[in-house]
Parts: sequence; C-alpha cells; structure tokens
Amino acid sequence: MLELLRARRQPSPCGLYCEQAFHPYEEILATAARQAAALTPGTVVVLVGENSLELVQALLAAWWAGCTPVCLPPPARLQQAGPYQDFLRSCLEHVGATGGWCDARLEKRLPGQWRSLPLPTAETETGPGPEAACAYIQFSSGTTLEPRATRLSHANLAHNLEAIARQLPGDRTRHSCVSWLPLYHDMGLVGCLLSALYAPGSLSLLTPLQFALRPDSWLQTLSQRRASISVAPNFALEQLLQRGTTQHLDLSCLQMLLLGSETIRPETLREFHAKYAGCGLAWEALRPVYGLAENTLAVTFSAGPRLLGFCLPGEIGGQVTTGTRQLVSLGQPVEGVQVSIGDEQGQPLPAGSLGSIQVAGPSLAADLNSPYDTGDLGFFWEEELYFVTRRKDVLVHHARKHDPEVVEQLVLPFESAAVQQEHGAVCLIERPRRGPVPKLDELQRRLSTAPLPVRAELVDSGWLPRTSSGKISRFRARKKWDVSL
Amino acid sequence: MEDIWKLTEETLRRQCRVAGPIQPSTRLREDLGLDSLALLTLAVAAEDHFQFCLNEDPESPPATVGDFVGLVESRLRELGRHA
Repeated sequence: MLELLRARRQPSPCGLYCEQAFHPYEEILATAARQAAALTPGTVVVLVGENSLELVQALLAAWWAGCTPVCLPPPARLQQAGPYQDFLRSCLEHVGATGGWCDARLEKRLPGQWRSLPLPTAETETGPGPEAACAYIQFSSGTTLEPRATRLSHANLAHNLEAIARQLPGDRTRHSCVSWLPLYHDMGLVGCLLSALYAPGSLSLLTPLQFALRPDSWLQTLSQRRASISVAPNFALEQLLQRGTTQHLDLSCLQMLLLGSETIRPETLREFHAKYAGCGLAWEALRPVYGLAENTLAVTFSAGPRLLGFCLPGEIGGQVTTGTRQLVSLGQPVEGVQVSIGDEQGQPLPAGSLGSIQVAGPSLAADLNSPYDTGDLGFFWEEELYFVTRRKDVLVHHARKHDPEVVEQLVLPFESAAVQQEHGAVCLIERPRRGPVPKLDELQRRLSTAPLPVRAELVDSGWLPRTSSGKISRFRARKKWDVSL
Repeated sequence: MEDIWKLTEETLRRQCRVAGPIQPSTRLREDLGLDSLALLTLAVAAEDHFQFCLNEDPESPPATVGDFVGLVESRLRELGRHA
C-alpha cells in the first residue's frame, strides 16, 4: 500500500468527489500523513462509520502510519442494540482491540473506547512507517456463517488491484467510478476506493443511505460525472426497477457496471437493461463478476452478460447439461487467479461437472488452505464460471442434493428462504409489505412441483435474517426457524 | 405533534412503501414489516426534517408508530422546540 500511496502523492487530476466537493488524492494523502501521528505503528485501527472523506482519510492515515485498518459497519437504527453489540465485541476481540474511531454521532453508542472521526491533524507529517505484515482485516458479512475475519497482506492487495486494473477497457487512467457501496464491504473498499486510487481514476463516493433513500442518486451521479465504471449487487438493480426514474439520464458513458456480491437473476438483468436502454445503457456494460474477501476481491470477470439454460445434476460430481434453468455466466478468472471445481474431498473434477468452486493464487489470504474451498457450488461451461448456490444451503432429501433456489423460484415474486428440515424442506415465505398477502394453500400448491417435499410457511415481512449487505441468510433463517418451533 | 405524525406517515407511505393502515398502535416491524433499511429511512427522515439527532436508546427502540412519534416529540421538547 505504501508504494501506492507514495505514487498518489504526486499531483494528478484524479481525486475523490464527496458531498459535492472535489478532493485531489494528493491533498487527501497530505492530510492523512499529518493524521498518522494519532496512530501507533504496528497496531490494528478499527474504524466504524458511513462512507465519508474522514473515513477515507483515516484509512489512508492507518496505512501511512504502518497500521492495519479494519472497517466495520455502523449499528442499524431503531433496532435492538444487542446483536450488533455482540458482533462488534467479537470483532474487537478477534483483532485484539478495545475500541477505535467512529462517526461522531456513534461515539457514545458503541461498546468499548471510541473516539470521533476525523483523526486529529498534526502540524507536521509523520511516517511513512514500516508496513504492517497484515494490510487489512476484512470481516465477511456471513450469508451462511457468523462473521469471520480474513487477513490480507500488502502483496494480496497489490496482486488483486493489478488484476482488476487489467480488466479495465482501454487506457486504465481514463476511467472514473461512482460508488455508494460501504467501505466496510470488500466491493466498496477494494473494488471501488482502492481500485480508483490504483488505476488512478476519480471516485464519486456516495453513501448506502443516499442510495437507500433515493436510488436515483446513484445513476444521476453516474450520468452527471460521465463515469465509466460502477459496482452494484443484484438488489440495487431491483430497487431501481421498482423506484428508479429515467428522466435526464445519459448512461452512454457507462462501460462497466460490475455486478456481484449476490446471485444475479437473469430476469433482473433483462428488465434493468430494458428500463435503461433508452438512456444509453449498453447491454455489454453489464458485467457479472465473482469475488470473495478471502481472495482479496476479484476472482472472475465476464465480458458482458451471457445467459444460458442448464439442467443441473442432483449430485456433486454429476455432469451439467443444457436445459431450461437459466444461469448468468460470471466469466473467466482474472489474471493470476486459478479457479477449479472440486469434489467433496477437494479433488479436481472435469469441466462441466457440478462441484465446489476452489480458488488459488497470489490474491488468496496466506493463512487459508490453497486451493481454497469457497463453499460455493458451481461449474465451468465453455471456460466460463457459473454459480449455483452456497453448499451449506443445499437441501438434501433421500441422499439427493437440491438447490434451494429452485424451490424459492416457485414462490416468486415473494421473498423466501428454503431451508432443510428433518424430512424434506420448509420454504419460509415473507408476507409482502404491500400488495395482496399470498394464500398458504396456493403457495403449497406451487411448491408441489419442487424436486423434494417442501412445506410452505408464511412469516412476517422483515422476518428473514439478512446480512449487512442485504442478502437473505438461509443459514440464519434456518436457525431462527428451528428456535421458534 | 400533528407535524410529526404527518411526516412519519408520509415517510412510511412514500419511502418505506407501506400500504396498510397506520395507527399509533401499529407495530413497525411486525405489522408494517419494516426492515433495517426502512427503519433507517424513518429515523433519517425525522432527523433531516427537524435538523436534530434522534439519539434513540438502542436498549429500547420504538416498537410502534406511536412510540416513534413520541420519541421525536420528546427529543424536540428536550431541545426546547415544538413541532
């Protein structure tokens, strides 16, 4: 990171747009170098806050001082504090910290010793300190497990940032990015902030809150700044399908809209393109990708949307054939990253077999086994990766394995989680917040075509546990359901 | 008080997309199905409108629409303001 930060201290036209103001990178780094004095080299610096200039400065100050930064999400509003405080305490314990730095409004609300951002700015610069062995600690949002920490080295970051930069079309220094993804998420930190610093290109930083309140703000900023790159999960596209407007938008500038972090639905891609094609959105600009924090971020990039129909086998190791179930290609591995499909013992399977997605290469965190079993099930087809489901979510009946999404698709458009029960599965279906409430017998009738016995159950809207990035966690839904019985 | 009720109802309808009846006793999570994003939206809408910090007690967050309106009201009273 130090090499990168030193390079960005040179004057350049690139910088960060934050709350309508432009801050050249060299200015942000000059401040960060003066803030570094507030930090003790070699320590872990925990940062809790929304996307802001102060948070970016603190992150860069931590690297400049030779510290290991960790970004964590702020607590949710109007909700019981207990689960969040447990999460924060376990993160602090894991990294051996008793507190850290947070948004001013949070200082008195977090357990531990916290001080308000921004970091105090000294008159003179400190450092740069020697780099800490661990560049960054990323806590995963945990779709199927409780949050866990991934320790990434400076070499991991350098490798993955270069691999991402090589995917940029044309001159990598001629791009700019708009992002509202939180910096405590790997796609927000590595995919947006660090990638923009690395290329270099300018970054317009919005907040998740801005997007939540007004999803239009994202595409409007893209259009106004003529940005060529952005990143989003599937649910962001669905928000725009429901709530977005298309007036005064020119998206012809957008060359890459990287779509990752959760399963990309073919119908979402098609509807999103149909809605915004009139604003100049190119179909090829939609780029499904696959990534995970354990591999720093990027694993595969697609060159554009490719939707194919498959018939999936009921067993790991079985052969995938063409069929009617549409899946979205996640493309090919980025440079230097090896992706393979393995059986339950981790042994490689031939192309076209369904198995565990395994990742290896210099972007993979050093303390993980290589190849690393991602816990995701998928397959390669014509040299491109397809994701099927999380392996731990797989439903088992009579020793045959079934993808929960096949069940959940039967009750669309209602949000649901199909989870394992003793004899078959239960599909927990949320009552919608608006519109007619589905009838249980009708849902049960639809589920009768599922490949295993599934009982329909209605739950209150908002009942299904979601991760900090908004994905439904089937694992936690199953635990919650089992407890409620 | 009326202002707070109006703002709360408007935020629930327009931004949180609530369709059903809204009464003081309506529960935010169980009846209206507000998720964390919707609850955040509600909190921030009040803070933006009244230009204050809601400072809700995370140990006993408001459970109903009436609780939420009461919380905003008591915060305004503490600040010596009236809605």
